[in-house]
Amino acid sequence: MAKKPKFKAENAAAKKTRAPGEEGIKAFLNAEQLHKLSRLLLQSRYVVEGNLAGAHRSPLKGASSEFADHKAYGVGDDPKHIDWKVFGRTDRYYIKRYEDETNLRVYLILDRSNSMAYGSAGVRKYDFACQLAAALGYVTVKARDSVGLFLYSDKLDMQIEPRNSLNHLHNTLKRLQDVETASTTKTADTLHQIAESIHKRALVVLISDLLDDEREIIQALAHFRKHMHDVIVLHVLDPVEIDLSLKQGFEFEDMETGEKLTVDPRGIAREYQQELDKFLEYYRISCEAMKVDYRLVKSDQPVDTYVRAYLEERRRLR
Amino acid sequence: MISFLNPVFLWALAALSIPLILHFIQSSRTERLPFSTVRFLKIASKRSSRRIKMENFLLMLLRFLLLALLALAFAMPIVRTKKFGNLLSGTARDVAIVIDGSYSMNYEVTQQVVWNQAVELATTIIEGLGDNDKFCVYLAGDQVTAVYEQMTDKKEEAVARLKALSRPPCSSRLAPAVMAALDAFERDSRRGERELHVISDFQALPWESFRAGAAELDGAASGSARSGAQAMMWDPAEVSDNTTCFVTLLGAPEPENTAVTDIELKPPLITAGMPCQITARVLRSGQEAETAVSLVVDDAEVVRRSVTPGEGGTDQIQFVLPALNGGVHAAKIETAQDSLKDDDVFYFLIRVREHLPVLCVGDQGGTVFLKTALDANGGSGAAINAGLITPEELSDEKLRGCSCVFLCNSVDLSGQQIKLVEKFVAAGGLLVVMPGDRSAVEDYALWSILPAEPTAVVELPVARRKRLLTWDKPQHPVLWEIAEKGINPSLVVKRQLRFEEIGENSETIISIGAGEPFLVAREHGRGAVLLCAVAADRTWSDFPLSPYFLPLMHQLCQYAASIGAGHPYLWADASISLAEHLPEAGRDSEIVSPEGKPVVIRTSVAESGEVLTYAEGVWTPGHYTLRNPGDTAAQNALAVNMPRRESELTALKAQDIPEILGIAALHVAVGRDDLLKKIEDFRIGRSLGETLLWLALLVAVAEVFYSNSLLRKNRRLTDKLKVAPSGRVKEKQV
Repeated sequence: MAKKPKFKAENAAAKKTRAPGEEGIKAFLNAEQLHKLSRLLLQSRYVVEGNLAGAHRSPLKGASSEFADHKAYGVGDDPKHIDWKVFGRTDRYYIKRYEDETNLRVYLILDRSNSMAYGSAGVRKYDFACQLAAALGYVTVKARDSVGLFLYSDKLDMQIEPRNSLNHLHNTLKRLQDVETASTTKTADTLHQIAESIHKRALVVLISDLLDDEREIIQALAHFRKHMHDVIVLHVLDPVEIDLSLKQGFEFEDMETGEKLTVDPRGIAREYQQELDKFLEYYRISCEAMKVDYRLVKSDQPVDTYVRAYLEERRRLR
Repeated sequence: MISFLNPVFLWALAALSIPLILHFIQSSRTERLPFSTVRFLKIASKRSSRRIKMENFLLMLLRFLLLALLALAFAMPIVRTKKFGNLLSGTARDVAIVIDGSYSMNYEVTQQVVWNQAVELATTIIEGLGDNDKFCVYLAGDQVTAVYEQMTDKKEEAVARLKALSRPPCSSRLAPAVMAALDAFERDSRRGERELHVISDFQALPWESFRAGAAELDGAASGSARSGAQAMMWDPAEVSDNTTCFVTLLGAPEPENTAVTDIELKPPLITAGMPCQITARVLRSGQEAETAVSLVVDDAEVVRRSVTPGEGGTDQIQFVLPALNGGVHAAKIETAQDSLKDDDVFYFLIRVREHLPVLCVGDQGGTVFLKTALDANGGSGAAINAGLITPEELSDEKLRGCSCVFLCNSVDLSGQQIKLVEKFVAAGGLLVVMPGDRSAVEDYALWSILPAEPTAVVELPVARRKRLLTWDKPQHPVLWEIAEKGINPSLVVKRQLRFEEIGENSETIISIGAGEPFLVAREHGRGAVLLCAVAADRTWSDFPLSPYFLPLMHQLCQYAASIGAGHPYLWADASISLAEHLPEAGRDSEIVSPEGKPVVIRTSVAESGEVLTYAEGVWTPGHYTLRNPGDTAAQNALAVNMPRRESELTALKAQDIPEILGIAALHVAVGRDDLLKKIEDFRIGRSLGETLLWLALLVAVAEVFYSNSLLRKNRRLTDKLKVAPSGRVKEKQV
């Protein structure tokens, strides 16, 4: 295993992005951002299973006012649900069934590998990802849905079960606040592990730079889809990582493996972009095929603005 | 065929190493940058390495090319081929023209004077210059004359000035003029290419100045354009690398000339009715040829002779001049007209006096023998007019007009009288001092001009009184007649002056006995002083009774006449001292040149307070006349000839010039057409400096565009991806 490089400078810079002296959600989002986010709603595109009655469709038929279908009357059915109009037309007993509505379980899966520590404009991808997780968690909880958190690197580092209270979110973020980037990435293995641990259909949000074997990650995402989860992939990348817009030659050092390479980025930018484009294209096409909501998120934008834009679009496309 | 005007800039080619050095410095200073992953960088680097190497190679090539072009542009290479000459534009140049101003340039070849050809050639050179070219013109004479000292571009004015150029009849030294032209280059030249044109004839004399010593050149350059004269020697190393020298030789390659270079009158001072002999020295340049030489006196041809001087040699021709009347006669010797007409006539004056004025100072008894001897006809034919005065009567007025003064037993003059006599001697008079009983030995000590100081008057015993005289200097003019006649020199001497030693500048002409000085001479100023050991009367010796007393006295008078007669001719010069050559002329006198123009008379006061008078601009050969206030008619005063240095036309070979000058960039042309062809061949070479600068500019622009295009050619991936604010990748744009 490669020696872990330490990047104190980047970490110190990242800490400045968090509100000093604040804890929990306030450490990641200020009052104005919270106000903006409070009106938004994260909805699943597919039916989900929750413990509580909520605003989301459930695979179960329940007591909501929305008609679902008819079912032949059988032993044990409540006679009060018999549709007498259908009986009048067909001389058969049918029971009228209604859509059940449940609350949403949102699982935030956050990558804390060392590659997430990179940031070109003073904002590390990891900090941005944490803010993003906080924002989505807040939106979820405000909608009385449950939010849980998985934090991973080369293994699953932290697991917090979903709850729908602000206190739970506060405590979750408080724990996240104390965790820094570390280690290498084993995203696929971790995702498989998480997929196996979620039994009910839920909304899974993966926040990562996905700098790992893309085929294995796609397979892991397929694992989620196999379990009928609604999956959102927020692919967080720094603008410099996308464009390689550096103005001089450097000795690049891999933040996870420590491998060094001296090149002039101005000379290889074209080939670099082509390779990265292929990488991103693979994710985009694969996710589209699996009906996974894939988003490329640049870490140089305000979190609240991005979340607002994303949720608005998601609402329209639902 | 490539040469460089500023080869020192070729060192700037070392700047080609700058890109390499910068590359290595930059490589060693690469910063470390932690990056999320080097996975894509590695792939990209592997894929683009060949392209990057090619791009870097091209960039480095462009930068090398840019620096090389800049270095070469400043070194100003010149490619002298017709292709480049026709292809490229002209090069601005500075041109210095040096024209030989000696009178040998007046040589005529096929009805054309070489000087006119030289002026026409200089005009052609000037008119052939471009609008950006500048030029200066110098005239080489005995002194350098700047026609245009500073670089100028006024071609029309220069041509007019050249055509109206007048020059004194002098010889020339080319080296000072060439050095003055090179100074003009260093002083004013702002252009890269320089041309030095020297236009001369086939005369070797002007080129000798390139081999002359520093002092000689320094003297020639004093008062010329090359001011602040320092010791100047011709040094080819001082000629800058971008100076090309063109030497054009005009006229006849083997010139011929016959000229009278000198004459001699014998006797120097002629008295009326006395025949004289004129010896003319005739110089011949070129092949041996017979020449008619005629003597003209007072515009009448007296005699015509034929002479055949050998090749490159001299010959003497003698004329016997019949007796002339008193006065100053204008005479000239003419040779047959040849190609160089300026030296065909040699002017001189023949001064004929009615008699020779002599003054004897002493008492009647002491001078009786002398007076008798001078009044008699001594066989020389001279009409001597001897006057007698006592020592007390000696004054400036008495001395005026005399050519010889005998002091007989009269040395004890007053201090003022001694000064008067000394001044008389300095002005060209002859003083003959003869002792006597009245003069004590101490009296001689008051004189400063005596050839020897007597220490005692010696009484000789009877047994030793008969003594022999020896002619120590038989060639001295005093002894000419006597020594030739072979008179037995014996003398009975009772008493005589004894000299311990004679003065430093004195000589013993006649000695007595065992080498004791008898007649001692010394020159003082333009005159001379003679001191005799015995008196002029019988009390000391039988010298006055001896047979050679009379001819010796007459010879002394002739000698006095010759040293005071003045030279029969002068060489043309910028100024002539009238006190020396024409004492009778004063500030109010009028001197008229042969052209009928008055000569400017200038006066100056010497440090001693003496007023010095000069005639200015005595350049025209011929007879000058003088008229003093009160004179009814003008009289011949001066005969002026141009210096005959240039008359000896020693032929110069064109192939000798490179060795004389020692310059590598030298073109020697014979004649106008040859020069114009050489100039055309030379000027087709154009400086590539400007062209290279343009090329460097183009390469610089190409380098900037290329390097920028390398940096800008990649569109950002963000732009290609068209990522929506929501993070949705809209579509891929290839």
